[in-house]
Amino acid sequence: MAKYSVSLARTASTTLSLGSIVADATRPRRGKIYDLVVGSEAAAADNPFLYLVQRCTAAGTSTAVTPQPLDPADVATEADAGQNHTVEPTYTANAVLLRLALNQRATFRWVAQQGGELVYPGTAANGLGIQTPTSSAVVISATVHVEEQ
Amino acid sequence: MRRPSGYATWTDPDRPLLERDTTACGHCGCVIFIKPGHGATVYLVQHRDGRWTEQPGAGCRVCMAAVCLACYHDGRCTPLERRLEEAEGRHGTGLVLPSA
Repeated sequence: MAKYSVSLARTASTTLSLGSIVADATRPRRGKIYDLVVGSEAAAADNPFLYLVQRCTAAGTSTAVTPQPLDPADVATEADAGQNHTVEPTYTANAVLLRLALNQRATFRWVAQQGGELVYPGTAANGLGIQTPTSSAVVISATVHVEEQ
Repeated sequence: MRRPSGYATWTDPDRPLLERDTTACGHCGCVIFIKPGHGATVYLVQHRDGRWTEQPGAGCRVCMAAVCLACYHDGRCTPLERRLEEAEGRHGTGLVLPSA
């Protein structure tokens, strides 16, 4: 199973997502997020952020970002990643998989052991999105490592 | 926890490194922060202001997996793999055997 890395960034918004990664519409494959880094490269400031990683059933509208294989010998991923949403993904109610509070000065990293990943089903357009319902309008970014089955 | 299923860090230039073990909910797959040395029997809940409070951990007596508090209060056992299979439309199809 190949592993991929994708970096997502935008000016934070309380109503629009940072980014998403979803299964392809025509060739859906199950994906597992096993490494996540979030933070802000803006000038240090004491602004609170709340990041939510939540299941979604549609990708919304965003700027496409191509996940890069960690092993160059692997084929391109089928998953679709996007950043800087202008139309929100269709989030599943009460399906927040990771909720974290973070100061703008701080960086958060989460790494999963095998069996502890954030898994999204191999169903067309199903995946995970990253929201910032509490945020300030500064640039934020996330690096996501995903393993595709 | 001897073998947590995840590890999280908060790196803040004005504070010491904050580390947390995590485990995954056996039903919904969400990340649960757990108190070290308590075998996932004590969950740590982070509030928006950065405070942490402790909550008793929860487990499902059907599948014997650690579950998040929301899934525990839901009361039904729907393991993550089953949820994924239902989403993928594969649940209930049974084994597909090759034709003779």
